[in-house]
Order: sequence, then C-alpha cells, then structure tokens
Amino acid sequence: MKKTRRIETMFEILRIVVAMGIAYILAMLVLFLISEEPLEAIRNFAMGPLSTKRRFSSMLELMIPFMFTGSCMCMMYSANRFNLVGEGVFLFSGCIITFMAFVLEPLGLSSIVFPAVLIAIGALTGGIIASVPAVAREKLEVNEVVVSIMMNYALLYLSNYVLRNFMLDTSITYSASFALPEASRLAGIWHGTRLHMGIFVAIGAVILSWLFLYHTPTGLSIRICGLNAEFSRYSGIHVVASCMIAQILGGALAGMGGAVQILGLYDRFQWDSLTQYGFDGLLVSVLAKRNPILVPVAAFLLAYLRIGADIVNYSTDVPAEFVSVLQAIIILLVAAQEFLGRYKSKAIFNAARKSMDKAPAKEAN
Amino acid sequence: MQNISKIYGNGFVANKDITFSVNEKEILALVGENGAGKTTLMKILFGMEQPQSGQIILEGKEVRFQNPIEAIAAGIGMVHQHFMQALSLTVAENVVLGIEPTKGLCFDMEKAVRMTQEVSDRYDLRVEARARICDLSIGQRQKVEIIKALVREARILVLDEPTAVLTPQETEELFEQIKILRENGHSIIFISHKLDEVMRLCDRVTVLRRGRIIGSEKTENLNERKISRMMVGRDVVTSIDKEPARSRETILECRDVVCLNENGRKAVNQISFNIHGGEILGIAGVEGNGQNELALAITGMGNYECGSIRVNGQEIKGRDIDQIRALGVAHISEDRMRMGSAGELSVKENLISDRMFKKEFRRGPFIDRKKVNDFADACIREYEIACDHRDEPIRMLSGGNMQKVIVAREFTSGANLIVANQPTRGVDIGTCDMIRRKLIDKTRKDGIGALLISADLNEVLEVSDRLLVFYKGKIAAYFENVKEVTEEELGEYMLGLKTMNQEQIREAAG
Repeated sequence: MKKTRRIETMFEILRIVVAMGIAYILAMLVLFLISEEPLEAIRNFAMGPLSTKRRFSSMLELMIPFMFTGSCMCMMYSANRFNLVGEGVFLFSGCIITFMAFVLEPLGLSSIVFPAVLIAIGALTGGIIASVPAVAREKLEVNEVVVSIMMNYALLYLSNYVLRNFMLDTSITYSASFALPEASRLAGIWHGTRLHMGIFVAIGAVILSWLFLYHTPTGLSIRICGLNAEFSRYSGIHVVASCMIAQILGGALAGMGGAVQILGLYDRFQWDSLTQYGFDGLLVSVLAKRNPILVPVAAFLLAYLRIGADIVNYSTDVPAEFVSVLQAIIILLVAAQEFLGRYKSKAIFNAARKSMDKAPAKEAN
Repeated sequence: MQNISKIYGNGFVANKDITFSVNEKEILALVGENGAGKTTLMKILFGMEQPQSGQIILEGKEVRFQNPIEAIAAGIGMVHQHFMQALSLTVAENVVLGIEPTKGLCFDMEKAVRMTQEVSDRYDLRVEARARICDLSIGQRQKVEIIKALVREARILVLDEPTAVLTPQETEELFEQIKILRENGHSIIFISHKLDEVMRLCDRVTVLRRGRIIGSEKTENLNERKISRMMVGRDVVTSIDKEPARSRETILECRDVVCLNENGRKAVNQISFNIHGGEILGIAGVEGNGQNELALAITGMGNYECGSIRVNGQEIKGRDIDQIRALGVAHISEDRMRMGSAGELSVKENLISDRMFKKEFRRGPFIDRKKVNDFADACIREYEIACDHRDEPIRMLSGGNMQKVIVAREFTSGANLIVANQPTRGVDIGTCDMIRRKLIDKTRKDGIGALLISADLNEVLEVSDRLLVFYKGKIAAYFENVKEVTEEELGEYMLGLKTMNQEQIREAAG
C-alpha cells in the first residue's frame, strides 16, 4: 500500500509536468503557424523572462498579486467554497486604502508604519466585503459564486464612484487620484527595478495562510468541512463558522494584495476596470492544489508565462493573447482528475497484484 | 442467472455462486436481510455491476450487459427504491426521457402523452400523463417508474422494495397492478422483507443469506415462519467469552422518543429505554425500522420531535453536536465513508477530527504535532491499523482498516456512551472480531455504556447483554437476558410475526 501512495504522488507530479509540456508544445506550434520569425519568438518566450534584470524583476513583481489572490483562493477552496469576490476586493481595497492614505496623511506616520496601517485597512476591507457572499451562502443558502461575481461589478463601480467624487486629480490628463503620500508607499528593494517590499509581505501572507490551514485546529476544521461536510458535522465541528472564517480570511488576503499592489507599484490609484488578479488567483490555487505552500511555485509559473508572452508581444509579431490558450490547456489538464488516470490505476493495480503475489497473507487485512 | 459471483474492490464477497431463475408470467420474491446480496444481484442483472464469474441467460441465450442501456434494450426494467425523476417535468416527459419522440426537430409532446397514457390505461395504472411529478403522491410516482420501464418494453420487471414507501391502500393497489402485469406475460422480481406481502403476492420465493442462495420454493409449500428461518438462520461462529454486565448508574435515558423520517412519517414511535454503565444494549431489527433514526437522534445528527433523550442526566435537545459529544457520546456511524471519515485526509487527521481544539493536542495556537503523532501511532498500534504511515490518506486503506481508525477515534474520545451503528458492516472477520472484543472490553473495564445497532444477528446475540427488537419504529420485543433468546424467536419478532405486550417491553426502561 505504500506503493499506492508513491504511485499517486508520482502521477500527480507527472500530470503537471506533462500538462505543462503539452501546453508548451502547443504554444510552439501556434508560434510556428502565426509567426514570420518563429524561432525568435520561441526563444523570447522560453528564455525572455530570465534574460535581463528588468524582465526577471518584473516577473517577481507579477508574482506578488498572484501570491495574495492565490492564497485567497486556497482559503476559499479549502472550505469548498467558490467565493470569487477576491477579484472585486483586490480592486476596491486598492481604492479604499488610497482614500485612507489621504485621510491619514496629516498624522505624519513613518514610512514603515503608514503602509503597514494601510495594508491592515485593506485586509479589513477585504474581510468585510467577503463576508457578504459568505453570510449569504452559510445563512441563507444563496450560491456564493453568483453573489460574489455580481458583487465584483458592484465593487468596480463603487470604486469608480469613490475615485471620481472624492479623490480625482483634475490637474492631470488621465483619470487617476491625487498622488499618494510618499511615506505611504512601499520601498523598492532592488535598485534599478520596480520590485518592492511587497514581495516579503506576500511571502509572509503565504506562510501564515499555510500555517493557519495546515497547523491550527481551525485550519484543520476548515479543511475537513471542505472535504466532507457531513463528517465535519459528525465530528462536532461548526460548519457555518468554519466556512465563514475561511471566506473572511480569504477576502482579507485579497484585500492585502490590492493594498500592496497600489502602494508598491503606483503613485496614484487609477484602476478603472477589474484587474483580473482575482481570477488569476483561482488559477494559481488550482495549480497549487489548494495548499498555500505551493502558491509561490504556481505564481512563479504563471508569472513566467505571462512575462514571456509580453516579451513575445512587443519583440515579435505574435500577440500576447496566445498565452491564454496555453493557460487554458494547463488548467484543464491539471484540474482534470482523469487525465492519465487510466495509466495511474493500471500502475496501482499492477503494484497491488505484485504485492499480493509476494505476500498473500498480508492482503487479508 | 447462473453461478454469479461478485467480489467488490475491498474484498467484500457480495454474491457467491448464485443461481436463480424467473419464469414467464411469474412473480418471484427475492428475500433476505440487508447485506444478503439482493441489491448487488439485481445490479448485475441490470448491468450496473459486472460479476467476476457466472452468466446470465435470457430466453435461452447468454447475454452480458455492460450498462443499464443494454439491459433495458434486452427487456429488463428496474424500479429503484429512490425514484429517478425530474420533479418539475410532467409524467409524460419523465417517461420518455432518453427516448423522446420527435416531430421534425421538435419534441412531440402529444405523442409522449399518448405513449404514456396508453401504457397507463392498458395496465390500469391510473396516472395522469400531463400531471407534473411534484404534484403526485409517492405511490403515483412509483407508478411512473413502472410506466417508464413498460414504455421501454420491459418483460422482466425488478421492483426493489416497492412497498417500503407505500401506505397499505397503495400497497393493495400496487399488488393488483402487478397481477395484471403477470396476466400480460411479464415476469416480476419482487424484493422485500415483508413476508406477509411475499406470501400474498408471489408465486415463488428465493432466499438469499450472506451472498448465497439458501433455497427457492413455491410459495404454497412455505409459510412465513419457514421463510424467516431461512432468512436469519445463524452460521456457527466462535463465541466471545464475556463476564456478566454489572449494572451501574444510568447513562442514557430515552423517554417516548418520536423521530420523523424525511417523508415526515414516524420512523421512531414513542420509544423508551435506558442504558447503564458497563452494559451493552443491542437493537436488532431489519434495517429501516427506525434504528438509524434513533442513532442519529441520540448523537445529535438527527432531530427528534418529542420525548426526551438524556445523556448523563442532561437533556440533549437543542444542543450542538460538539456539546453532545462533550456530554459523553461517541458515535460509530453506519456509513464510514460519508459520515465517519474524510477520505482525502490522513489517518492522523481523521483520528483527531473531534478533538483538535482540545488543550492536550495544542501548543499555543497550533496543533501540537508531536502529541498528535504520538497519539496516532499509539492508535495504529493498539487497534492494529494496517497503514504505511499515519500521514497516509485514509481512502487508501481497506474498509476494515478504515473502520478501525473510526473505532479508535470514538473509543478514545473519553465518552461514556458509545452509539455503535452497524460497526462491523462490510468489514473482514478479523476486524469484526476485534471491534466486538474492544466494545465488550470497554464496557467491562471502563464502565461505559454502549448501544449496539446491528442487522447482523450473530453480532447482537454475541455482544449485547440486553436486547431490544425494533419493528416499524416500535419496540417489538425486549429480552433482559440475551442468552435465553433463540434466533427463530428473534426472527419472528424482527419480521413482525409476533409482538410482546406493553408490560414486557416497559421493563426496558427500568
């Protein structure tokens, strides 16, 4: 039986590798078909993200929001709740902390305390917003997917409203808020790039999420609820409370993400459409098999693909959109339980038969 | 069907060398206790399961069904206990689902209604084709299932416990209609526990026990008593030595408990009994007579309408399950996969699912890994759980070992009342024996009380000290001393052929 576990783990890894491989080969094919200079495009796509300091750093930069929304979705997903409000929370939290930055500016907080306070406000905002679909689901049995997706649009327009009416800087030519106070912004950490302190906050959030889900009693009860709600009830776990906590914490993570993104990369709040980072988080959490500790790896993979596609986009004649085809294939194959499933059961079956031949007495147990 | 054998993936032998036949224009009863293999056998006939050996011969030709579609095409129809119907659609739409008549590209509603009404009229089934399913009674919905099979030209009709959900009047009506079907040349396989119905309706009876055929007889050569003996007859097992129970304080007190099932009928009807420390109270009965509802009510998983249930002197009504567990209730549930464990979680995590918040397993805000690991290893050793490692997902364990994990958790929870609902169903003999011994051990050494619900007569007779027999949600019999009970007697009470008077039953509450 030890073999069974080894075979399963092996196939789990194999499945991801093969999925990536197939997606990569398909991407190459597409590049060959649509590009005049396919070899150049392929080289850029594969090696581009690692080729210069600026490209490499922008990949790390992109990992930051992925790690936040990825942990957010791991949290939701662990409780078996598909609360997608992270998308709207990410944007709205960015808006609210910008607004709060202006409110708190007169206090003259230091450049360490100020962003910390704003990130905390972002987390709080996220938690409160996420609790709406959570309450709807746990208390009123309304499908959380529907509520959260609708809320994303409400949050988008609410954020537009706040921007237009309370903090729009009319002295500039584009639609954005006043400039953020210098003390509120996250410091850069790598000279000559835009990479900022936020990456440490993100790594911290990932580690805390993992500790919470896998090493605390509440985390375990959330995972039990997610895997078998009937069993959790039987064990005396409060299903409603556990699932609420998971969704509120998930919202808080997305809220932190929105705050960090604005404070790290922007000098003004200027988002006027959904950022898509929330949905990317879903993708990351699927790749990470709902375990936050794998989120950095999944975020890296996704950032690598995206930056590669960007480079191909501006250096050759291939549009960046082709990368979404690739993404779709990877997700499909990783999420598809039965992909390579037949080979897996065959391997397990053979191993079981072998061990049965060797020790027929043991099998009786 | 000849020499059918079916062994499930976990090594459970559901059918062993079964040979039986049904003739044209015959109503055959297939009887046996739960777990005797009736359902598996019918699933094989209907193509839902594949047998390891044996063959099915239909009208002289060997057939092999890979799936129900092939079985239906060959003229086999099945009416399941749980209807498979779309509630918001009409009868006619449900009937033709999958074989929809068309007019051009459109669904031909008129023709669907005609097809349905024609069958309904021919067999006097009296169902309105245009009515919506959700407006029909349970009895009428069952008729819809029969029409569904008949529209697909079924010649052999399998009815899986059709009367379980019906009122006596509906049952009468159904019997008349089944007889009409027989006159029209159909063969019917009627699965039931209700011996009076079998005697009244069927031409021949085939009895299954523990996956084997016990006998097949014409109904006129049988009586209810004979069938009951064939059904519950006991295999010889090694008996477990146990010292007599020493009754101590009352742990569980049930007074006039009434539970409703999901259809709103009384599943448990005014039941009163007590359990004392140091004893095992057994409940015998054919499944579906209220035992499960009672177990769910005591453990907080289900509700009870009236009466009172007190655990260690405390009324449990309105309490959450964690509070009930804290009062001292442990629960080995009937269904280990659905309720008793989470397959993806490790053995270790399954072992602490009810106690991870307790101080002894925590260090600050975290779960104390070392203590949990030590506890898990101790359980694995003591309960002889065959697994590679405490971190192995429990779904990789065999059924018996999975059950050992659950038993280990519940026996170590510190409770002084154990509700064991079918604790040894579908597990191998070794594990069965271990679980039974542990249960007896726990009551004798630690003075806990246990409620043992089991469809396995061997088990209730070997393990319990006192015994209740449930029939139709009521206590049909109470035995102060299990040693005095014979299995024939038990069988008669279980199948409702005999009932004790109120005086004798009331002693259970003593």
